[in-house]
Amino acid sequence: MSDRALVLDDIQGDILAGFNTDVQALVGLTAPDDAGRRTAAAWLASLAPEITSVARVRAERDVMKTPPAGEPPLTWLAVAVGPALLQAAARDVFILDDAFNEGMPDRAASALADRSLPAQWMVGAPSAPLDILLKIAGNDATAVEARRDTLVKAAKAKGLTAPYQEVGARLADNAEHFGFRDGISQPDVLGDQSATGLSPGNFVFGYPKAPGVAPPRRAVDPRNLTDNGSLLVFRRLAQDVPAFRAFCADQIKSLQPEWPGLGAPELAALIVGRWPSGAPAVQPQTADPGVLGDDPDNSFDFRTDDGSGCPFGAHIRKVNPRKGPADVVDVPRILRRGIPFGPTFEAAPAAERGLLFLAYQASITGGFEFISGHWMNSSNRPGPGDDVFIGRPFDTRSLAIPHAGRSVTVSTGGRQWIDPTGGGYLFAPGKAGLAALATVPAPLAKFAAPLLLAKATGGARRWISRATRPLRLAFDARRR
Amino acid sequence: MAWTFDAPGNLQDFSNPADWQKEMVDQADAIVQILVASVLGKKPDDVTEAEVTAWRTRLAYVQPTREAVPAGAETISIQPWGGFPRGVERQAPWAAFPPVESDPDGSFRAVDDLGVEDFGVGHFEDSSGTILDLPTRHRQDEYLEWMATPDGQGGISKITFVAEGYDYFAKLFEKDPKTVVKLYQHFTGVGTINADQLRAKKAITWIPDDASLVSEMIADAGEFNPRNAFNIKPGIVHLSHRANSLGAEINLAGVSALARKKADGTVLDGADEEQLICCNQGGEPNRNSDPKISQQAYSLVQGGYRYTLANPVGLYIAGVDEASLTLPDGSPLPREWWTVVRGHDLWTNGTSRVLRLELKPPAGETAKLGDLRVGGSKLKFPGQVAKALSVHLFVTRWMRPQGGIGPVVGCRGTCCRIDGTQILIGSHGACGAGSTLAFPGLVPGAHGAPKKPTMLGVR
Repeated sequence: MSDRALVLDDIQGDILAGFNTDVQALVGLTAPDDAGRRTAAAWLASLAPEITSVARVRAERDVMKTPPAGEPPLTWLAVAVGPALLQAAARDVFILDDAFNEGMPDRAASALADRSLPAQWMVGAPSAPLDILLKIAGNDATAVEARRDTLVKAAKAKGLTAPYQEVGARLADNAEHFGFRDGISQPDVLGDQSATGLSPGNFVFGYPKAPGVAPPRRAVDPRNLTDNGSLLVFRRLAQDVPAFRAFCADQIKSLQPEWPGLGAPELAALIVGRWPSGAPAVQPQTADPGVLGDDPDNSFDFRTDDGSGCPFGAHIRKVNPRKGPADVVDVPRILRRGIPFGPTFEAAPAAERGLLFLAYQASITGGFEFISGHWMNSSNRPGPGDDVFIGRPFDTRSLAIPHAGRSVTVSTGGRQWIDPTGGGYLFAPGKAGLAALATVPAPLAKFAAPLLLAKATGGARRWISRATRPLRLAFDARRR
Repeated sequence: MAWTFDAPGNLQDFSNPADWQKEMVDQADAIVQILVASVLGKKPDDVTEAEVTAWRTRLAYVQPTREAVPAGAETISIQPWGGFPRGVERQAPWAAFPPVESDPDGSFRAVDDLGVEDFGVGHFEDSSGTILDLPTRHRQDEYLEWMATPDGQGGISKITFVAEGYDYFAKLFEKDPKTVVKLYQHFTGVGTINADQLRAKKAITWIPDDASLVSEMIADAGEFNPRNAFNIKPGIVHLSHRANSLGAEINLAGVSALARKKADGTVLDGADEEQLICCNQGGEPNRNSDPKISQQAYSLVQGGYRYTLANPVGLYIAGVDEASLTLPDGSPLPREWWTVVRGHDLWTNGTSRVLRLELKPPAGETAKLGDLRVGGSKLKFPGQVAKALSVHLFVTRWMRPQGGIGPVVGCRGTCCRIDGTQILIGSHGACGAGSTLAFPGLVPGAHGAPKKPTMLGVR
């Protein structure tokens, strides 16, 4: 069976190509009610031609990097919608992903070990749900902000509020705020400049998960509106840089008897699994070896590393076992498109800073939530040890590091340096799917009655009441 | 010191522990015989005692009652695998199970389905030709099975997980049937169960529809029937899926103990766990468990180790992803909700030898299981909790004093992939219509000519 070729002029550019620009503005929009969401959907549909596709990112990448003299700076646009908007605008569409349908606030404690209070989230709080997330990207901050302002103004004209606006900016050397180069390991996607990568169905709706296999049904979607779409996880993570640095400094002091000469940079590298340059951390290195050329090595695996080179609990091993010990054969991968926010600690110590974590996948439960819940937050999966760096931020975690023939344990003792401050689960449709949001589905009238009934009986809050009953009617209609 | 094979989890079920010891000695001897046969290119039955003696010390796998385990040997748990079946996840979404809350793709209902898929397409019949209906948890194939106890109000009052092989109970039944009856009575709550209800009155055989596949004896007349109905409803006592036997684990760990070479003579590196298990044909390639067990055993071979399955040999629940279970207020689920019923040491990483585990509200708790969240969703199906559990086993290893990796033998077979799916089926080299060779080069002359594929795994 010949697999379908990727429709690169329909799939949003940030999904497969990644905007990877210096400046990226995020805008969270909220509608007052379902009627407002339908209005918003119609507005979004009108924006479909403006959404930047993969093909366009690829075509404009060089121009983005080096704008021709006299030309206005380029900006790119991505959009994703929340479950409430999708259900209000397209009642015949139901995405088969619990995480998307239930939303991050309800699931964060259990799925992500996130003990923060959603009511206090800066973005995505239940009082201001993320109906729409816009991402405006470019290398010129003024141009990005100007386009953002234009979009926000248009959104407000449609009755939307913009309770969340934030601008992320790349730091020097593509580092995150703790100082480590980020975004190095990204999966190749088969058919998208790769002949060996993972099949696109792992990331985009409408494609196989493995070569020659039928595309999995990701949604009940009679109009094929979700085709070429992807599920987006957005999480705002505040980073306490001095807390992490102090932890490493304290640990090396207490470990001196067991590990004389251990330096804080070395310990931090073993906790992360990479040095700040992005070079893989492998004992017995004691200093950052740096990287040759622009890109850190991403070709290594842990097949022969029994933890003595890179600890099992190192962050990069907890999120990608790379042929080392693992609990599953099918290793989930996601496309990370995050960007830091806030000034560096050195530039403004008192300011807030962190990471606007963004990642695309075809299944949130099988992707981001699996990696976070089953791996980062687990003490024995995919390999032994806690992810001290990011896993279970509110609990005590410990990491065993082999040294001199024995195991040296680093323990957080409940100290924190990551503070989740909000986020959401969204769907990033293809351009054609986005345009179709303006079209009222034909069988809508058939669905209206049970929906009203469900709402009247208080059942509308749960997606089962909103979606499954109508869908069954749809199935019955087709059978007839 | 003489090696002892204790019962799994150090259980004291056998009135005479020597009965279990003998069973395990026999199995370990059989593994060595199979391995020597592979080295010599013979059938196991044709291997002589002298050949076993000559070769056993060169193998990576050690029969520990025949060879002394060095004092400095190290016992480790191998990396746990996920308890939720890979095959069920791969086949999702399940068309037979339309979307509902907490189970949009049908996986949690599909995994609790009962049937005979673990044997394939065919039927069971007894020696008089009577067709028997013997469904089991035919999709729970990661050496972990479970059952939810209903609370009578549409909810769940308890979830029980087991990791005990049915073959352990078969041997126990052979030696101490009263003990098995007591265990059944206790774990099912049916105090009237007697031994006759657990045994096969007449010999039970699996008859595949495909006449080219061999029939398989499930239980001889009078023997323990591992597919008896009491283990399915109203209780769960032990594993029931055909592939979930202790013997399968032992076989897999054994046949993975030989370095394998491809048809061109190059040694298999074991990086691709599916390719490896298709080569050694030690287990089921579509699971998480078997490919992962095989790969880790093979890495011991490659690392120059000799090893044996650690005493007490068993499959154990390795642990619980505690962070993924929360009370209604979002706080972590207290450990008091879990009860280790058989086995021990659940809460220390890498040490758990838990065979039977229950999840239920502790005394005085007002929250019910249905009030919990697991993996983000409301707890409605026991399979949700199974995703938070992992399973493992233990090996005792030591370095080869002389170095090297031992004998290198050819692959026993390869796999074909059913077209349009990710499902692998074992093959000696030829793939039937509708399937394609998945791993060329493992065996000489592998091709796609029509030929019936064989099923992998221990039956």
